[in-house]
Amino acid sequence: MTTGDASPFADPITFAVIKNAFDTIVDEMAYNVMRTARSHIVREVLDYSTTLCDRHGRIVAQAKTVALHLGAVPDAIAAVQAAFGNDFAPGDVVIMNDPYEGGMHLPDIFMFKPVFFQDRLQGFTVVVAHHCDMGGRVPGSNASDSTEIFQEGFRVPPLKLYERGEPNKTLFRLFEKNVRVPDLVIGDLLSQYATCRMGERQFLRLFERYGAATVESYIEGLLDYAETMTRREIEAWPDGTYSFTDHIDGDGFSEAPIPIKATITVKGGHLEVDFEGSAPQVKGAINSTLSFVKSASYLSVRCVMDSDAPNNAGVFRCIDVKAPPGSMLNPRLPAAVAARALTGYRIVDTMLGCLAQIVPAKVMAAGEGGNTVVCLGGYDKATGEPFILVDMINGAWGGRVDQDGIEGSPTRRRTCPLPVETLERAIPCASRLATRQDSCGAGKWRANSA
Amino acid sequence: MGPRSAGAEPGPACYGKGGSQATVTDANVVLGYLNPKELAGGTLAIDASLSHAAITTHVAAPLGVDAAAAALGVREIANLNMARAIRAVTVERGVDPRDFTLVAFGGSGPVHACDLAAMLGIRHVLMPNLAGVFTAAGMLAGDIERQLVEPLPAPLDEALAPRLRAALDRLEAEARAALAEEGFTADQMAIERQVDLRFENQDTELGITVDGTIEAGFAAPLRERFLEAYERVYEYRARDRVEVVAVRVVGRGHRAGKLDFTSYRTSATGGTNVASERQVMFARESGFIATPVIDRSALPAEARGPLIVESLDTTAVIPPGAVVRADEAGNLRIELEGRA
Repeated sequence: MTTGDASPFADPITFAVIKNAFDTIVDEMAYNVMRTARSHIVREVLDYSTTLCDRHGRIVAQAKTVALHLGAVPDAIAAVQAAFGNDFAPGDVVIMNDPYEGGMHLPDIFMFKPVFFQDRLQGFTVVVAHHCDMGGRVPGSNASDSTEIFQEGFRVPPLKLYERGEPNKTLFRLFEKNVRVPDLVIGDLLSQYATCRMGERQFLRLFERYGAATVESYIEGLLDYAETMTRREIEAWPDGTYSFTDHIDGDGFSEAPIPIKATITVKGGHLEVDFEGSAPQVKGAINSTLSFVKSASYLSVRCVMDSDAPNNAGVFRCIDVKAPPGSMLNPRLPAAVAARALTGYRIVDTMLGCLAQIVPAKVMAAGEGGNTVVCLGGYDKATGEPFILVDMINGAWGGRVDQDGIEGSPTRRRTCPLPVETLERAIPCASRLATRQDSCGAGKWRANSA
Repeated sequence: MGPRSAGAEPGPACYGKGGSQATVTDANVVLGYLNPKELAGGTLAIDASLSHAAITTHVAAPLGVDAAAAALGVREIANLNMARAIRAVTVERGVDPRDFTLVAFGGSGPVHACDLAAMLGIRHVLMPNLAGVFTAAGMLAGDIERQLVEPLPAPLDEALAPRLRAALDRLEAEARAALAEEGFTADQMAIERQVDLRFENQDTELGITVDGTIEAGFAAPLRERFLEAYERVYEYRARDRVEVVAVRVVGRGHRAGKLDFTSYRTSATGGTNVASERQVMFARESGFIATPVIDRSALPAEARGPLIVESLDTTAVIPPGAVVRADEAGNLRIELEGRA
């Protein structure tokens, strides 16, 4: 067995085996969430993500879940490391959701479980889940017309939910008191917890099988490999500076179009993305944290890449993203951010507008602009029990370069709308799911019906 | 690796039917697992040099490694993909593969099974008699099974007892009637009754077997058995309400006059040339090692790997340290050494 050699090419076969093992672990974690979660938004809409980080907090592998979550993990884990330094012990579990300390919006709770092998921190298993409620003004905690983060719900800075295996009862009690449907929220937290532990066991099995030195060196190799593949691809793109501006129709308070401007500089295998020129932060809740802007930017670049570079931190090394502080894409406290997904989709549109100038043959036509989040909530008349349902309705893709777009599939993320049967069982209303006639764009390769 | 397969035509390079791409079978030939001259009791001649050429040209040379290292890599990746598939039907369905014996069948199953078992933490491997034609033999030797399911969505509580009992009784009567129609007498029937349970608001359930009939006071013990099963699978307990999803009855009819294949014994050689030796690579670290090759008909009651057992229908690969025992039914039972 190779040890201590960081080059993935020293032993390409063990390299492939370990790479596949990482992918297997994160995908199994994803299945574990699906099987144990309680809320519809997690277990059926699949708005959650699983990943594995090394001891430095760098993403090693991403499950085939929501890539828009995972690009924000580096900033999230940096906040966790800033809060705790190296103060981790086996059995600890850290959670957080605060957009102003590593989070994206309050419903998305990041959970990190430090993994120890032979008393040494070796990495983190990570589960990000969109919880169906975090308290605040409205059921689902996802109003677009909030104007301050304080209206949006329960803010959790990086805190230990478990300390050396013992639950933090104070924090659990605070969740119980601050959300509308504690059974679902705590049920989903336990699903995240069980999944972090399951991922940890599998991660440790690799260390037991190959030894720490080998696994560590292959992680380095895997990140370098992804970086090399990404750089190689970007090197083939024409150097230069490319800009594109797109708009959001309004923030719910003003109907003035809100510009999002991206400028991509391609230079020798490296991309710099600057959102200078985008709107200042807005009153409504569609401001997006810089972490989410980065995530949307990484995703866009990934969409036009040919290579199957592993989805890990090595890819991110080739892309720098910045946005002016105080802008809608890097807001300051107390800007509201709950409905930031919508902005994320438009960032992807804007990025693809830029990329279409760089690699025109790789970019599909603009799609539906992202899926639509629907939150329904209230109190059952008969029992007085609260109910909440969060669903995501998909539009359709724009026409692709060489074929029609896909119908009923979100362009920017991998989620599924709830089946009508589930909806009708879950909440007291009837529904119908259909595509809208003539909603597709015409052309040689058509956009499909939304 | 894949996703295209060479299929049966042209098949692996070593078949000499025009296949030039390297296949997993070719890797197994290069590594010494498969007979370099013939398979299937001599009915299929093979040419090992074609395997070497295919592996060298398409895998080893581009990667800058030797043919053996390339073949081992091909095999390791194929194994990993199979292990993933096994996980998909164990872990993803809420059961721990370590609790099971891996049963290997099909022509290639016994060639890979011990490696897969080791990867999955499985200690015991069973290679059934006639493993290479397992499904066909099984069809002639099997019992009849009826699975009946009835949805019954409701919270698990005492009030549910009459409905549960009625549903289970109804399904059991249906299962018995169906088995009777196929000619089974009551004493040839075996019935298993299950309730599918999950925590409220979950999407995935676990089937819990209930013994006897549903009587008053059934709910608390059934809930406890569900919690135990759930904790075994997911390693945590929740305090939430448990709900019933469905009831199910498995009715088995034990058939008289089945094919008794326990008396069948296969041989690759028809009894000649029962023992030889070839170089086999089990691990990169140890390289090729001299490995006894024995015909299935000459296998003693107990032997220790490294060992290759050849028969008409398959080749059993027994890694170093593993112990293989042939039981009275003609199965090979293998116990892997080391980690639990």
